[in-house]
Amino acid sequence: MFDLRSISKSFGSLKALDQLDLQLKPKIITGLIGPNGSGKTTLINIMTGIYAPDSGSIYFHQQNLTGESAECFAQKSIARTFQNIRLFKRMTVMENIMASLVTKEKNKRNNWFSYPFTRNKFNLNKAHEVLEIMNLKDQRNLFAEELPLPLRRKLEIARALVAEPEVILLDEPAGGMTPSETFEMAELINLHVAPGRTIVLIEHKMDLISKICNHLVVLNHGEKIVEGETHEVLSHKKVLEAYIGI
Amino acid sequence: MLNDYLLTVISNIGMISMIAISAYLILITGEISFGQQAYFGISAYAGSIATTLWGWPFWMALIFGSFLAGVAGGLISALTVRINGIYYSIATLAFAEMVRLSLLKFSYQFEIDGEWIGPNGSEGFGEIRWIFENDISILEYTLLIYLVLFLLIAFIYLIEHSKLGMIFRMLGQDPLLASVQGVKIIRYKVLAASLAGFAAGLGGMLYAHSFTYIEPQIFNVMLGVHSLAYGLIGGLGTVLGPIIGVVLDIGFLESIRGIQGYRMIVFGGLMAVMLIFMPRGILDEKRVHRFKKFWEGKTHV
Amino acid sequence: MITDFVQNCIDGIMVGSGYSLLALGFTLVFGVLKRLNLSYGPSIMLGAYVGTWSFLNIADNIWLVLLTTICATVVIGIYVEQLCFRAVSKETTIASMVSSFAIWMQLEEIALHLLPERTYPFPAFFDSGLLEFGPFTARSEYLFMFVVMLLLLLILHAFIYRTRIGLAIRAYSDHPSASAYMGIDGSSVLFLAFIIVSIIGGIAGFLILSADSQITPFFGLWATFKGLIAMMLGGIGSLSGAVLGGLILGVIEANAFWYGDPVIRDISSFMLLFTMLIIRPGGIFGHKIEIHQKIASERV
Repeated sequence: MFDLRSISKSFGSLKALDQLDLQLKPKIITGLIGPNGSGKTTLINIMTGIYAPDSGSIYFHQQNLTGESAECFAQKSIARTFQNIRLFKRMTVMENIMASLVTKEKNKRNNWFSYPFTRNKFNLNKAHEVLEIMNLKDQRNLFAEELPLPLRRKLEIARALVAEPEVILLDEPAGGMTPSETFEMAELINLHVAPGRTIVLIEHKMDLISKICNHLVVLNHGEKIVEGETHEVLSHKKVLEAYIGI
Repeated sequence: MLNDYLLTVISNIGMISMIAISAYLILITGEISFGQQAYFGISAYAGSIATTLWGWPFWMALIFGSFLAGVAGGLISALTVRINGIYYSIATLAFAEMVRLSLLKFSYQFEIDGEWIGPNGSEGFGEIRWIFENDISILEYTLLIYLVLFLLIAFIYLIEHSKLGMIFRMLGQDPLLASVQGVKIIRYKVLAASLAGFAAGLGGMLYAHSFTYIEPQIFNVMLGVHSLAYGLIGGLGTVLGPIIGVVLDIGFLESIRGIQGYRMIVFGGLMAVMLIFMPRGILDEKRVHRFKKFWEGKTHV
Repeated sequence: MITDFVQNCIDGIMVGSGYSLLALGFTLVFGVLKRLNLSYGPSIMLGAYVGTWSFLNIADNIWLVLLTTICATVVIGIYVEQLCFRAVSKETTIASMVSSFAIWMQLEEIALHLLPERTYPFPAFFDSGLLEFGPFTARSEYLFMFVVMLLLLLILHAFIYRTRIGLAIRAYSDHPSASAYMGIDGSSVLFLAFIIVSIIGGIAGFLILSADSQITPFFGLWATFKGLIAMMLGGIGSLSGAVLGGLILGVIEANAFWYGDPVIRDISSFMLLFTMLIIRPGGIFGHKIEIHQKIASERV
């Protein structure tokens, strides 16, 4: 359903992505791995419309989204998180989650006259649900900049979840976390984020990858070198080469 | 009971509050405009022309002037959507100076009762006599100003608590993140700028009729930067912030006689020191939130 | 007809070299800090007031005026740096812009207390003379200013690109936190930058005012505006861009003044700035800057 056809993107003389093809299968967790600078984040940025590809085309449900703005991608129910966490710093946790509901038109109860916006019953219930899932309930009145890192990552995921997107792109959801926090994050993703959704996950921690991903894509120097089932890929010769440099 | 001097100060606070609110609206969407005085001036001229030369009723002229200012604000914002930060600030400054200088060249006079009336370049625009013709006392006009200010504050307050307010704050804090949430950035930036132009326009039109004389020099960059400063002193967490700033500045400066002659030295220093400790003003987002929670806790018990 | 135009251009370049001097200071501060120092013009104005004060009250010596002007500008520059830029938190760039404006009001009032009569004569460096080149003329003090400006450009360029301190300044301006890991003390870089900028400002103020042979409190606003416009025209952060921006501004103003009047001159300079910012925000010689590129560069 998410179809990327021979995508290229360069920054100056650096080729971040080179003729990359990628088809996402619905309701499957696709892991995206590769060494630093292999183009993973660039790929995610292209899949959310932050960058337009230099060449190639993007289809989502047979609809051509090439060259559309980030707003348009978001409206098509594609949500994401960021590697360098981005939150609305001067909003509370609750408001950050509400912010994600602002433009979700399919929600009939969420019109201009639902006033005040942050007290809208329908939205509040949804937000509370997500906060419950992500264990952020006690922090809901704290400001985003006051949260410790693991909770900020959780808040980013909560913000993506509350919009009920079809596709979620997670950019290093366990980046900078301790092993136990990583374990908790894996559980959360498996239990609450993954069911019924298409997910792309960038991660360096192989235990997290092997725990949640069904499908793996390996990038190196902007090219796809291997794609397949997780256990096959992880033992593939080319992957070992790219990672360990044998 | 209230002497005329005090009333003038009070009505000044009311009118300047409107341009402060206008600068505040741009500030919460994440940009700094040095040019809100242009909309203040456009509306002052347009509104006064409408009442004095065309004989329009006051309310219609008020809406007309402010609407024109709002359209100008939207247009300038649409032209400058590609730039941000210091580039935006300087572009708005350049526009405002263009408007001020063009007014120096702007002449549009009618002969009324044997006298030439209307804006005449650097000589300004005198004889805006609506107040006298309708026998309105200073007190009544002050009340009128505060009625308009109250409506404006109520309107902005409603906006702030609606979806639109949320969108404005999202734009102001992280435009990229806002666009990833599906917010059409350009549309809302233009909308915010039009609203800001409208708010400044209300103040400008009332200002012209209060002083009965305007000249281009009034709408110089000092007015614009002051209006910015009010929001930053008072706080960017609520629409009451800029008004606190205005009251502190105009009220405070007028009340302390002992520092007469040194008041800019004192006030400038105070402001600089305050910005070190409260970079987003007295009522910033956090304090507003805490205050709300405190209030809710009280009412629930 | 064509001689008029050429003469206008010469006049413009002469006056524009003053704008270039001001723009050099602006572009240095903005290049290093990424923040705008609005009180740059007023601090030069107050420095020059101190210079005039020494001229009126101490001795009729041009070198003394130059020295006191520069020293006073440096002291005021340090004051501005400490209050508006060092102490204000780095994340809220607007706050330092507004607080530099607050200091502006302060400086203007101090100047009025120092010399309450507003307009004062400012001593000329040497007797004004009209140099003739065929049909064209140029005033000697402006020519002198032009030469000083070019010299300063060369010195600054050598300083920024050829010395270790210059390297530290460039490193800090490029990436403050990374430069800190390299052992560069950010606060001393800031301090140094402000001192250099204030010295340039003092020289600029002295030369411009002695060419005008009078000083008023409006000089602060005037200097801030002209410096800002020239910097924006040339392109932020580029030294030669600032100089060229100043000269272009001068030429355009001179022609607009000749074919129009003072108001048209001012309108045309702001119109030029506004169109430039819309069409090519990075300035004539600066980098092309667009929102999307900015987003791309800031690692999402």
